[in-house]
Amino acid sequence: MDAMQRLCAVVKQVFDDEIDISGANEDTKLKDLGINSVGLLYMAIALEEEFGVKFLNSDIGHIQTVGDVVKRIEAKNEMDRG
Amino acid sequence: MTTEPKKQKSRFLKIFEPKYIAMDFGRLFAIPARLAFRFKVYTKDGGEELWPVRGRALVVANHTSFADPFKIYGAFWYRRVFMITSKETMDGGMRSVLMKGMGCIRIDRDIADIECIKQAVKLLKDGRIVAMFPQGGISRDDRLDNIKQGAVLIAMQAGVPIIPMYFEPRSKWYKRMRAVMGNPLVCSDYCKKRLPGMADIELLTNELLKRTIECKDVLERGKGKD
Repeated sequence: MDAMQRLCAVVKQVFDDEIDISGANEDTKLKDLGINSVGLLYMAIALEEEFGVKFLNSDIGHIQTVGDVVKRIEAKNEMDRG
Repeated sequence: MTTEPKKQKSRFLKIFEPKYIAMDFGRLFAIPARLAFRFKVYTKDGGEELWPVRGRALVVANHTSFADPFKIYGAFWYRRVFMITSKETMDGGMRSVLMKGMGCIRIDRDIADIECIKQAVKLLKDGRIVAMFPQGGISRDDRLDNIKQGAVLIAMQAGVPIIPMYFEPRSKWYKRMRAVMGNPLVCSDYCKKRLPGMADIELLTNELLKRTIECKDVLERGKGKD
């Protein structure tokens, strides 16, 4: 499963099908999808639990788009492989 | 392979933990706080056995003045309380050092502060009491119409009950401080999923607000007049 699919699965769980990112591209802003600050926070926590990605305040501040989250998951995958 | 049993801390070390020496020194202020506020803590019907709070818990309270943290320190004088404090209150040279020593957890309300959440969750998992004011700021008119979802998020992550408290603003400085402790909100009673959704968080936040308002109603109905 690639990073985007994994992210879709987490978003589906966290937002109970209220938010669907399967049709979104990497440039889609999280805000435009209806993800507020608590939603982002919770999504980050869920990603930490699911994939072991670690988020800091500085990372969260830079996450604006779906692509930013995907990059973060991919970076973690690279680290695990390396 | 045998596993060594975890060494139990002695009672002395449980009471006097060196890393919390600054905090314990600060807790001495609970003495004047208790004298000044002359607390009377009421519990909701049937909740008498819950006070004093022994286990780990997230305490949430209404926020009407800068004295509120001292009210919590005074009410929970028998426990170390870690307070979630805004960066505006905490930032600034010596004040920052002192407040950190007192066990304050800095939160930046302008961003999704994940580090604060993690720190609070860790303390709760260690069996501590963490307190916060989920209204997100001081509400001088004592209106309880909105609370932020962060409190529920922390409690769910740590798997601890949320204790709603209501501190009645004093009309006169010499009047007794009356506080009501509501029935603890156990998140797992409402949501059994491993990863609850945002809808569950919203539901629990509304329930928490309802329970806090119920605490206020206890005093307004006239129970426990001085």
